[in-house]
Amino acid sequence: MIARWAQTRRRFGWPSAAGLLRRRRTSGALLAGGLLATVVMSVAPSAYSAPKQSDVTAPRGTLTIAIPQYPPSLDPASGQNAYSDFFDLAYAPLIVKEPNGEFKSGLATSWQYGSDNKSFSIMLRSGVRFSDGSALTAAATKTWIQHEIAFSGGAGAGYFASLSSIDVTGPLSLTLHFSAPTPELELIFSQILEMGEIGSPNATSGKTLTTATDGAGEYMLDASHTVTGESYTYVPNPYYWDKSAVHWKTVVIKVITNPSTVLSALETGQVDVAEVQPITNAAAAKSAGLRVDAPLTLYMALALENRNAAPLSSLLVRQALNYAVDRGPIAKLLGNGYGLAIDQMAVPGDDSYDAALSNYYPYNPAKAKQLLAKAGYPHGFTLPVLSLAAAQQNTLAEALQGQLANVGVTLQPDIVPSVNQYETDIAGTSFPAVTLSWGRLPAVTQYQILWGPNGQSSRPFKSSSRQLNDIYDKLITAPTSTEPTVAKEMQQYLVQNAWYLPVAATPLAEFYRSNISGVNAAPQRNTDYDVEFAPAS
Amino acid sequence: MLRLIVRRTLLSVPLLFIVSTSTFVLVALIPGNIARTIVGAQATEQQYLSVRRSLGLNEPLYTRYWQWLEGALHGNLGLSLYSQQPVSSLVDSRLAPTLSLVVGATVVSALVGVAFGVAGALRRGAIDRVVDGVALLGLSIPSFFLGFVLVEWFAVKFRLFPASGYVAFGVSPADWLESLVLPVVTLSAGGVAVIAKQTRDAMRDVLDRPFVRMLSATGIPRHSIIFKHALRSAAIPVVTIVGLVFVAVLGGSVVVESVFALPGLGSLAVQATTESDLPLIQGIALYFTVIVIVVNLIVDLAYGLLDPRVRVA
Repeated sequence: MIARWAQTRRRFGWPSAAGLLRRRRTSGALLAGGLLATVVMSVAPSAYSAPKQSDVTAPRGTLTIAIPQYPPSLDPASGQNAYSDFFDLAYAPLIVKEPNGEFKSGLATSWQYGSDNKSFSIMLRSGVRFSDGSALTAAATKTWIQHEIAFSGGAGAGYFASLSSIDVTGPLSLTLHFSAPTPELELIFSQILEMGEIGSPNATSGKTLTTATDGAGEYMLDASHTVTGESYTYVPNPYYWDKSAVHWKTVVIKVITNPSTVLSALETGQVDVAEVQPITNAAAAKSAGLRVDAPLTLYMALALENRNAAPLSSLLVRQALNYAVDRGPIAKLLGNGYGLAIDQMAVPGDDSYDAALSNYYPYNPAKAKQLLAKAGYPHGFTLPVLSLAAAQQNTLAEALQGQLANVGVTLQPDIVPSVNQYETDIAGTSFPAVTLSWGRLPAVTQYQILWGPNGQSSRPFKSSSRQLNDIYDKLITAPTSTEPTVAKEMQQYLVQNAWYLPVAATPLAEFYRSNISGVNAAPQRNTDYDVEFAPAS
Repeated sequence: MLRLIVRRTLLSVPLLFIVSTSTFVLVALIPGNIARTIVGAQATEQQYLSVRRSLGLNEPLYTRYWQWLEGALHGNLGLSLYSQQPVSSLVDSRLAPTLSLVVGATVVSALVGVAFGVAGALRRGAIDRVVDGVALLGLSIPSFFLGFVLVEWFAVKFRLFPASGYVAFGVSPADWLESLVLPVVTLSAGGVAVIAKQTRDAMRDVLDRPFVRMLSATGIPRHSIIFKHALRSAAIPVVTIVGLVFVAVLGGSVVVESVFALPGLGSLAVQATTESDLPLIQGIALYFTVIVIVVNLIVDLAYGLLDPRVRVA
C-alpha cells in the first residue's frame, strides 16, 4: 500500500494528492457529523504542505537530520563520538577520514610521525578562521589539545595519556611529543574520534561551548533557533575557508527517539536523513522509496570479563560457550537481514580482521558439552550477565540464554532499563559477563579502551593479559608494513583465548531520501560524515 | 469565591512539599547515576569520581535536597546535571507544546464527549449504541497505536497534517494548529469516551426528573430545556470528569509526545529520568504539580458557577 502510494505521489505530484484530500474532506465531514471531525477538518484547508518531489532537486536550503539522542555538551572535546553529528557540522577536523579509509587534509595540510611513533608534527592550513573570526594558529591548536586533556570525563585524557609536551614550532606548525609510541593519531585527529576538531581559544577560555559552537567547520550553531534536547539549528559559518563545501543554508538536527516516528517523518519529507539503530524498519523504508545505508558498525558480543575466577577462568569453559552458540540465526535476528555472524571482534576491513579465524568456533553443542565436562562442569553452571534494554542487547541476551541452555549453562541476564545504570554496573564487579554493542575501531584503540588493562573488559576484574600487552607494545612500534600482521596477532590471541563470545556484526543504519547525496558510511570508514550530505543533482 | 481560591492555594503548599520530597527520594533510589552517563563506560574511575564530585553527588541526600529547596524557594530550580543548563529555562521551553496538547485534548474531549453524550441521552437506540461503541473503542485503543494509525493515514498517505514536530504559535498560528491536530485527536480518544458516557448518564437522569416535565408542560422550547436547564444540571459530574480527564491526558502526553516527536514536558521527563537528572526531574514534577493544582482550582470555580450552593458553602 505504501509503495503504491509512493509511486502515485511520484507520478502525479502533490496537486493530485490535494485533490484526493478535498474529496476526502467533504465525505469525512458528512460522515462524522460531529465535533471530532469538525476539528480535524477545520484545519485541513491549509493542507500540510509536505516538500514536493520537485523541491528535491532544487534544494530547499534546509537539511533535516533525525538523531535518537542528544549530547550533554556541544563541546567536541568530550570526544563522545555517539554525538558526532552535533560536533562535525561546526568543527572541521585536522584530518579527514574519507569513505575509502584514506586520510586527507582537513585543517592540517600535512602531518608526519617521528621516530618510533613518539612524535607527531602537524602543519596547519593558512587563512582558516573560527566562527568567531579569530584565526586558527598552532598556539590555538595547542590550547585546544590541552583543553581536551583537561576536559572532565572526556576521551582526550586517554588518547593523549603519554603526551609529554607540545612544541609550537611556527605560527602554523606544531609537534607533539609522547613518552610512549602513539600510533593511530590520524584517526584520533580525524572526525571519527574528534580530537582534531579544533575550537577557538576564545570559546575555551569563555567556557561557552556547552551550549554554543565556535569551530572552524562549515556551519555554526544558531542558538536562537535551538531548543536543547529537541532541535539544533546550524547556519553557515561566514569564515569557513571553502565555501563550495557548504551545501545548505540551514541544517537542523532533530532529536526523535521513536523509530516509527522517524520513518513517518522521512516519508513525509520532514526529515531528510535519519540515524537508525536497531535497523528494524528497513523493509518499510525501502518500500516507501527511502534509501538505506547499512554498514556493519557494531559488534554484538558477550564479554567474558571475569577471567580470574571460576567458571570463566577456565579456557575450556570460554571455548565451550563459543561452540554452544549458533550465530547465524542470531545475526539474522539482530541485523534484520543486514547482520553478519562473527567469531572474532572484527569484520572484513578492520586491521585486525583475520580471515583464518572465520568460523573458528563452528556450532557444535556436543563439543561444547564435552569441554564443559572436561572443565568440571558436566551439568553446566549459572552465569549472571549484565545487559541493557536497548541497542538490542536484551535481544542478544535472550537469544544466548536460549541457546546456552541447550548445553546446561543457565544465563541469568539482568537487563537494566537505562544506559546510565548499565554504565554504572559495567564499571563494577557484580557481573562476570556483559553483553556488548561495540563500535569498530583499529586494534590499537580497541586495546586502549576495551581489551587492555585500562579497557572496559579488563579493568573491573583486573583480568588483562601480559601476552596481549606484549602484542600491543609490538603493535605500537610496528612499521606501517607489518602493522596489520601484528593487529591480526592481537585478534588471534583474543579468539584463541575466547575472551569474548562474538555473535554478530550489525549496522548503524542511515535512512535517507533520494534527494540527498553523500550519505556514505563505507565499510572502510564505518560512519557517515554529515558535512558531506548534499542535495542530489 | 475569593475565600475558596485562597483556601485552595494554601492547601497546595504542603502538597508541593510532599511531591518534591517524595520525587527527590524516589529518584535517588533509582540505580545508576548521571556521572556515569556523562563520562561514559570507558572513562577511568578517576574521571568518573571527578565528575561525580563536580556534580555534588558526594553530598548526602538531605543536603542536596535542602540546597534544592532553598534555591526553589528563591525561584532557582538549579542546573540540569546532564546539560548544565538552568532547569527553569529547559522546562519553560517545553511548557508550550505540552499545554497546547493537553488543553487542546481536554477541550476536544469535553466538546465531543458532551455532544455525543447529549445525543445519546436524547435519542436512545442507534445513537446510544454508537456512544457505547465509541466509548469502548476510545478506552480500549492504546494511544500510541491510534497515533501511529492516524500518522499513517493523515500524514503519510493523505498529507493532511505533519507526521511529527511542533510549530510554536508565535511562529505561525496555522502551522501550530496543524502540528497539534493529530496529537490532540490521539490524546482525546479516551477522554471523549469517558465524558460521553458520563454526560449521557447524567443527562438521562436529569431528563427523567419532574422539573423537566414541568418545564415542557409550561411550553418552554425543547432546545432551551435541554441546553439551558438539563445540561446545566447534568454538568457538575461532567466537570469533575473533565478535570480528571485533564490530569489523565497530562500523564498520557508522555507517550503521545514520543509518537509525534513533540518537544514537551513529557518527553523531557522521560529523558531526565533515563539520565537520573535529579534537578530536572524535580523541576518537571513541580511544574506538573502546579498545573494539576491550577486545574483543580478551575474545576472548583466551575462548580461555583454552575451551582450557587457551592458558592454559598
